[in-house]
Amino acid sequence: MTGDLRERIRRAAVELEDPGLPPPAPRPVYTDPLTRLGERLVTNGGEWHRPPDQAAARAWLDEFAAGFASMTVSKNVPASLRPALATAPPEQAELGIGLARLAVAESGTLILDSREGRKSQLLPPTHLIWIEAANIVADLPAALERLAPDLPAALGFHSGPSRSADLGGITVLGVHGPGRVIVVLIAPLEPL
Amino acid sequence: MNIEPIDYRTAAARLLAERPDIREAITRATLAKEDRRREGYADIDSEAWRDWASRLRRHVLANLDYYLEQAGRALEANGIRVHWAEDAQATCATVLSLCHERGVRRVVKGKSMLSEEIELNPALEAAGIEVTETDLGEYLIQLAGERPSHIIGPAYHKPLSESQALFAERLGTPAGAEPSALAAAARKHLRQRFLAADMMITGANAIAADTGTIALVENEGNIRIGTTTARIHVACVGIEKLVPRLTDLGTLLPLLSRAATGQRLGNYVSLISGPRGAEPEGPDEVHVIFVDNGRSRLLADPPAASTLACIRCGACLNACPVFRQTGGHPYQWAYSGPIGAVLAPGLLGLERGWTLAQASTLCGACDAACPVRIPLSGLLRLWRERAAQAGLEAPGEAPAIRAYARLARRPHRFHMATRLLGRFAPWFGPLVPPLSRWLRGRTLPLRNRNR
Ligand code: SF4
Repeated sequence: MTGDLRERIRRAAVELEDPGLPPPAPRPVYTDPLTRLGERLVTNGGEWHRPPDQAAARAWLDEFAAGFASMTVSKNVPASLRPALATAPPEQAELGIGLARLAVAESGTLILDSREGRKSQLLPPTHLIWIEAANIVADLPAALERLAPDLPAALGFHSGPSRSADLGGITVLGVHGPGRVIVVLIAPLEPL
Repeated sequence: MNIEPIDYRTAAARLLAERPDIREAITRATLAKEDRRREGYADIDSEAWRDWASRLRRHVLANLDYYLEQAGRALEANGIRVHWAEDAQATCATVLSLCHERGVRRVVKGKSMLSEEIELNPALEAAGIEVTETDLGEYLIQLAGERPSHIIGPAYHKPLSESQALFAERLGTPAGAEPSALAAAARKHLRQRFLAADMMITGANAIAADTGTIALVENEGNIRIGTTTARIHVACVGIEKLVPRLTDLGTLLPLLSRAATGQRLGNYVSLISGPRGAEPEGPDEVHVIFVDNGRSRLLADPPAASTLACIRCGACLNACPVFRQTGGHPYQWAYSGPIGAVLAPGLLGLERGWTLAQASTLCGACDAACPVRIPLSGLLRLWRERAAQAGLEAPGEAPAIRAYARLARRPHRFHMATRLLGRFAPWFGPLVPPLSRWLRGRTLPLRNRNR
């Protein structure tokens, strides 16, 4: 900051009444974040699956992937959660697959880390996101507390398909980011 | 500095006379968003959240020098280059010199009102740089050669038929194409621009001073994509847009989203804490330009300084019965509605901005909507008093605008309106025919106020 600007701001700020940092705002108590995450995500236009076990998840994946010709997969997704599809660059792939770092039940939000690669999160028209139950938190303040000690270049919070109401007030999906977002709950993974 | 007062009255009259379809589109969009906001506030303890946010933002303003220094250091420690710009010209010059030094020819942009305020696009285009707005509404406006009519929904004033005609002409979509087909055409066209872009320019919803993190909220994903594909990201940020801690965003962003659109959280949030570094994708460089452009002067005006607590949610625009008649165009600068009317004299100077503070009924709907509890109607009164003290009230001018404003609040009171029109006819001039048409109109902006 130039000394001039700093001085000007300091002199102005000191004249203002300082109420001090506020204590945290009240947070509603959520009992079943897992169920809420699914409900909120669906409200936002996303899809939600909760297979009973790893084998069921795998069976679901194989059937789901049959509808696509190509994919781009984040490096954080283990082999057991990758379908047998041809890979393509994110600019061309029909399906992007990633692993969420956290999810926020209250708003139906999946938190994606740029270290897994950002293009696969954004460029394909369909995005499949795996989430572990242990990584679901109740609300955004809880998520930020967990994220703060380890911030990548970019965190992306995705709460459903890309949407816009700029065309005559009518909602359209998939205007820039994925128009279809599928979130699937999985059992705890082995550390990579 | 331009000190010619903004002629709100003539512009509003002309718009009402010539474009009843714009009034209809704006009224519909803002009433819908106002309903969404009420729903959004209803499922939290909104009074307590607003108290919290109001206090947080005022604490920041009272310690702005401290938090700016802290943010500057934290951003730099993250590898983000920090610049300081005194005014619009210096901001544009900083962006232009980055472009020249780094061979930037193609720029994509995320929606930013600060960019409108400093008129960045014309500055870039004059230097031969290709600029593409990528927010769908902002892209529409750019194609049409217009200005945003609302700080959140730049194209709220555009009837679908106009967007269809514009896309047919510019992107070759069939006449009368469905919105989903228009969106698909825009996606395809803009995707090419993203992939070819050298630089992405955004604003910021907030910067967390403790971690040096830029927060951006959007619904379409254009900001996420642009800050992924371009090799340089430049965020132009007003000096007031800080929060002390990253964790403050945990309450502020949901409150902002609810106030703006009723969403629990904007569909996409980006928290950017550096260039890509060793990561596989993302920009090689991230720059933050902190822009003053009159803000430090407003900060030094204690009765008006709380204006700077604004988080640009647009809720006061949606709540305002005067704004709902015309949208933002008659305000003739980046910010409109109640916040635009109190920012105008604060940032542009009393001589130029005072007329906008007249365009209000002082009904207090904006005060009730504002997530950070800015006393908007009190500030409108303050600027009116200052204008009067400075002898700026042209005879008849301000009463005429205020009469118009009162009509906007109760268009159904036909008898009162005709009486008022009779009384103020000499000053209304061109306002009379549109007002009488409006009073007979099909879509009176009536609603149940007790909801
Ligand atoms: S003044 Fe308040 S309601 Fe208006 S845009 Fe700013 S924060 Fe939102």
